[in-house]
Amino acid sequence: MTERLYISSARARAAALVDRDRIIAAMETAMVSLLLGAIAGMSTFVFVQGQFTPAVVESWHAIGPIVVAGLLNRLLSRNLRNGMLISFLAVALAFVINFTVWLAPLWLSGYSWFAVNILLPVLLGRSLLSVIIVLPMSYYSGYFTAMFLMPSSRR
Amino acid sequence: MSEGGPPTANGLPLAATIALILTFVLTASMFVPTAVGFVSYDQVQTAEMTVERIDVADDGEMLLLSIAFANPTIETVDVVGAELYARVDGDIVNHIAGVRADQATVPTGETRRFHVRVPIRDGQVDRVQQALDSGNLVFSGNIWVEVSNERRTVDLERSSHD
Repeated sequence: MTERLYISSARARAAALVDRDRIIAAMETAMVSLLLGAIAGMSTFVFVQGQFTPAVVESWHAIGPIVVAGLLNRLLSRNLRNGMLISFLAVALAFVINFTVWLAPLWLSGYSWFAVNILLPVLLGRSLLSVIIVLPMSYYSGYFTAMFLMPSSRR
Repeated sequence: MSEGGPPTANGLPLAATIALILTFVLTASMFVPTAVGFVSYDQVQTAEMTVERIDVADDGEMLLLSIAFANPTIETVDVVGAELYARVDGDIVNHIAGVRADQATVPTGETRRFHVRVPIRDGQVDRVQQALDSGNLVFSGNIWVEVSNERRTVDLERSSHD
């Protein structure tokens, strides 16, 4: 009993000592996930809705940044576990970005609630179908390529 | 720290961090015009196109419509064409193929007027003149617009004039 209390308080003291480092590491992970997810999400949208891009950009060019985001995921993560966490967060954010932009016209164009009720599931389904293959395939091909080329973790 | 070059202040490798930010900026510069075009393409169908004035030219064989277009989108919209029907008592009285719209570029949130030339069919000139005087002439149809190089049609408000 005494021993357990001692251990737990020692753990607590150790945890308090490394708290600052852990917070910084968590913030790093969050920032990297945020930026990688934004890159992947925006690129996927450009790839899917390529007819609206400026004429100099072909829609397939937008695959590039998704793969680069996967490569950078490997370079900017501490270890395998941290890298996978970042990739999950980034891909989830990329999906959310695509849903948001697909659904934005429902409110910006001022549809009636009746039209929104009909269109919301349709647009959600279309946006999911349009990104569910290209986004994870491109992102993880970049990530796994980097992992193959750089098998040892960065730090 | 063997790979990825020297670290930044917070421990991330400098080269990879710079690459991350550059890729983000590049992607955002592709994404913003695409998203603006996507939203505007949907928004433009809520535009109100109203016939403001009708001028008669060529001894009544040509009508010049002045149409006001208030751009409701977040992107510049180009007017590129028109498909209009002028009706008197339900009969179409214009040459459909001869309808021509002036090119017009309408910036975000602004209203511009453009002209559409509507040629009248042979033998219908007198009827159109009477309908103009009595307010029986009814216009309907579409205006063709381009948003981010994508074409789409906008309904002309069904309108009669006196």
